[in-house]
Amino acid sequence: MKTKLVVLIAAVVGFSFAAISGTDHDFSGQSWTDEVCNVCHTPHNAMMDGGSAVTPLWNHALSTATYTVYNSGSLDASLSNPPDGSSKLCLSCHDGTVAVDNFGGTDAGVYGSLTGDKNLGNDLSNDHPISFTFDDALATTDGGLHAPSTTSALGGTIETTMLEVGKMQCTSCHDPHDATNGNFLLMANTNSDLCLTCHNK
Amino acid sequence: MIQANKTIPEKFQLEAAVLKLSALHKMFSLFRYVILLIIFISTSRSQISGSGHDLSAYNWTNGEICITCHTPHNADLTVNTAPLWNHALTTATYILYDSHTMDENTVQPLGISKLCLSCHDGTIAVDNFGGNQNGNQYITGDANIGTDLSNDHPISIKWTHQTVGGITGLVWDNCTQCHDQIGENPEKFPLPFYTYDGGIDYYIECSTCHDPHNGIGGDYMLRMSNSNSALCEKCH
Repeated sequence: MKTKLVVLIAAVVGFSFAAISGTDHDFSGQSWTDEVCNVCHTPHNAMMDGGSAVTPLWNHALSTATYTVYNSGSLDASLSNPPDGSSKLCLSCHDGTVAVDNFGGTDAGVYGSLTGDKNLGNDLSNDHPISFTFDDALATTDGGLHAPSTTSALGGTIETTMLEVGKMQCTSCHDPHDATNGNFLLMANTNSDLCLTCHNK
Repeated sequence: MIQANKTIPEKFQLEAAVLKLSALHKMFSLFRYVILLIIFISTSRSQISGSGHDLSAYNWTNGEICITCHTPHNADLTVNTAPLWNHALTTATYILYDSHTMDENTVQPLGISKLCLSCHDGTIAVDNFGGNQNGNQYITGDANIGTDLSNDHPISIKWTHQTVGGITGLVWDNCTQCHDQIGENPEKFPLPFYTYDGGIDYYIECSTCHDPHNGIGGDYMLRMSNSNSALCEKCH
């Protein structure tokens, strides 16, 4: 109800509000922030890690958890452990070890960590593999994957619209700023369309 | 015998009431004018007064505000992105912002951003103005963003939604959000973009988001409130 009210107010105010407004990633209604973006991003003095900036303009405390990554007898991909790229950013809330309101160098100490299904934990063996290079070699070896040069329904190829520097990450399926398709998916998974973009089944 | 007249005789009560009302009316009129005067004074006073860019309290400004950046005479003619420039320019080379999701590249700071960085990169003394090269007052704290801009919002970056056919994540579907008419430059937009080639390309600079003369005030001198990330969401 509150979400709908926020959306209605934004619409009435007349601004072309961003897709993130009113989603589960919009924390502006919380007592510990009145902004939307700053839980994850900041325009200046963003996080540095090992001498390099954590892009894009990252502002949320990173997890220091160790992970059990996915494995199976049919897995041909080689997974980075710990997960890297944008997955590292997602896991800074979604592995349940860091409070959501721990950003900008301060933990507000109000919201705490994620609970329920959104908390994937640090045992990722029961979650879709992430942080692996998805290239032609993998598609060939696996035999059940489309080549990354295959067209996706997102206005480009798997590689250009879903992979991050050639790797599969959380953002290969999820857009953290847009919940239009449900579960922040890049496209609706009706008829498992999202799954079947990569999996040749 | 003199009797203190505590009550007004009935025949004079109406007259007394009128006089009282008249006095009250005059008082309120005066009050109204005082309020208007206060409003007039507060709106006609410069925004920059009392802002983070008001350095007049420091003795090296001689009590002036504008002089750190501007001068009426003998200004620096090499600077054409701000009028009558008076501050020493930075000569730093910067580490630029980069990420794999960018559709345009940043370049070494251009135009007006270079002026901001002439204090805010921490390499030039704030009191190096008017030809003085011996200043020793340097910017400190968060306001010193240094010469590594990789962890700061990109600047001197083109806004190319018009030519690239849409950049993921940037709000551009509704033309009239930024433009008065199709083909017009963003006149309505509270966040100005800057052109260096007579209107072919437009760039985001520091002063797209920040008003050096105070804007809405506060620590960040933004051009508009960022409550609910409204400023961020003007573009993103």
